[in-house]
Amino acid sequence: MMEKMIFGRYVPMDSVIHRMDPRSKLLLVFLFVCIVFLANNLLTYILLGLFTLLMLGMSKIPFRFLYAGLKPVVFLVIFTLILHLFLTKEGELLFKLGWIEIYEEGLRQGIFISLRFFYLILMTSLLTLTTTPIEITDGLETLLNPMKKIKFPVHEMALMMSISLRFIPTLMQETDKIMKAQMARGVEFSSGPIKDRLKAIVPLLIPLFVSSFKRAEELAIAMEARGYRGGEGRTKYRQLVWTYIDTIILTFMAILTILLILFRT
Amino acid sequence: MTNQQLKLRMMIVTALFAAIIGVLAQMTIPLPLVPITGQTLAIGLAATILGSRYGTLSVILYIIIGAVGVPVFAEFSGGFSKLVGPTGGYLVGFIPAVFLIGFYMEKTSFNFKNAMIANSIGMLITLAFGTAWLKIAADLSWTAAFKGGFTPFIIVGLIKAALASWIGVLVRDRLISAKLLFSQKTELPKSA
Repeated sequence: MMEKMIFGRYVPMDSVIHRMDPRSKLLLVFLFVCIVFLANNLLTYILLGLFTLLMLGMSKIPFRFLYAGLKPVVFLVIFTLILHLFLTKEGELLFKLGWIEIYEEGLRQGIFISLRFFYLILMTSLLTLTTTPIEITDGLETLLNPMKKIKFPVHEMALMMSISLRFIPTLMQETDKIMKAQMARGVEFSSGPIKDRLKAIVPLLIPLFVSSFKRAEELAIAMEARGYRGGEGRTKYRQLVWTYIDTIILTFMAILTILLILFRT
Repeated sequence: MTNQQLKLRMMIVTALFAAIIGVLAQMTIPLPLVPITGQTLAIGLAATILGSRYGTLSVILYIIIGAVGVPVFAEFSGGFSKLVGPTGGYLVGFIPAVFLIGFYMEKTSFNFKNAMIANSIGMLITLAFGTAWLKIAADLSWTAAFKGGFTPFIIVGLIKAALASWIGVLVRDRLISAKLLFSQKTELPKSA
């Protein structure tokens, strides 16, 4: 569990997609999320599907990791499919059994929307499965750099993200420790009357906040002692490298976008 | 303390709070019929303890951290796919909700009654965002999206809001008496 908290959903492997620059992966996924909504006929959905499959194939991510990402939404996808099947009453009547009527348009819409969800989830999973959270943070920071012009605190956001990422495992352990300490003092978290159980949250939260405030103070002093003075002129330990692979894949993406615009009805 | 020093401290506290939301989101409070996840509670706490500005910032951070793949969303899930999935709107809806909860309480005062009003408004905003995204992403009609994504959650939402208000105000008072938060009205000096 601890490892999962640090690396997120990252699956360490050696593939073209893993070696891509986080910046280009972010751009790729962002564009993809936008153009998925352009597709509205069979041809465009097939094009998107082929592109998704190509990317997944190149990433060499085993299917079970992708499935783990899809599993929680399968139910919702089925739910929307059913809603469309029964509520959209356009086009030819395909099937009738008692009060159940399925129309051509409903079936078509239902399948397209389900496909849209699968594409979105697969492509966005691809980003987090092939890139560590810290790489994505670095990528985001450089990509958003132009926004400094409009006074958006890019560096500060990236720093706060790194601090959060660093402290999530620590705070998890701490919460566990506090819970055990309070249980040793007789607090019951999972049994007893509901009112007591709700009240039991308070002696868990207070020590958690107190220690976090103290930690924040300590970290601030440590940073100042090492001369932290904000983002101005700060250099980086991890450098991002843009290679020809990134250019090629983004070109593919651009071609896909053009094709979608041409073929959509 | 200089302006720069204060800013750094608030940045770190905000970052740690985002981490705390992630930790609390994994907990469930076992109530009969509807188990309440710590997520809603933590969102309410962010607004009550940090106020509108830093509370909103910490929730934005929390969502970005979840989006980059750290399993901080409820039930150890995470990833950008959660945001673009059919239920992603509820997560995004937390951002305006926190801002308004914090803003309302800063304008009035931090007691249970105001917290309850603020948290209920926040809950409705979250549901509205969730429903709107559900409608767009799943291409449903407004009535269908409303029936599936709004009405069933109102009662549960009100229970959650009451719980978040009660615990939020309680924790805030304790932190003030422990001199960890500065004042009754706004906890941050104006310069921050």
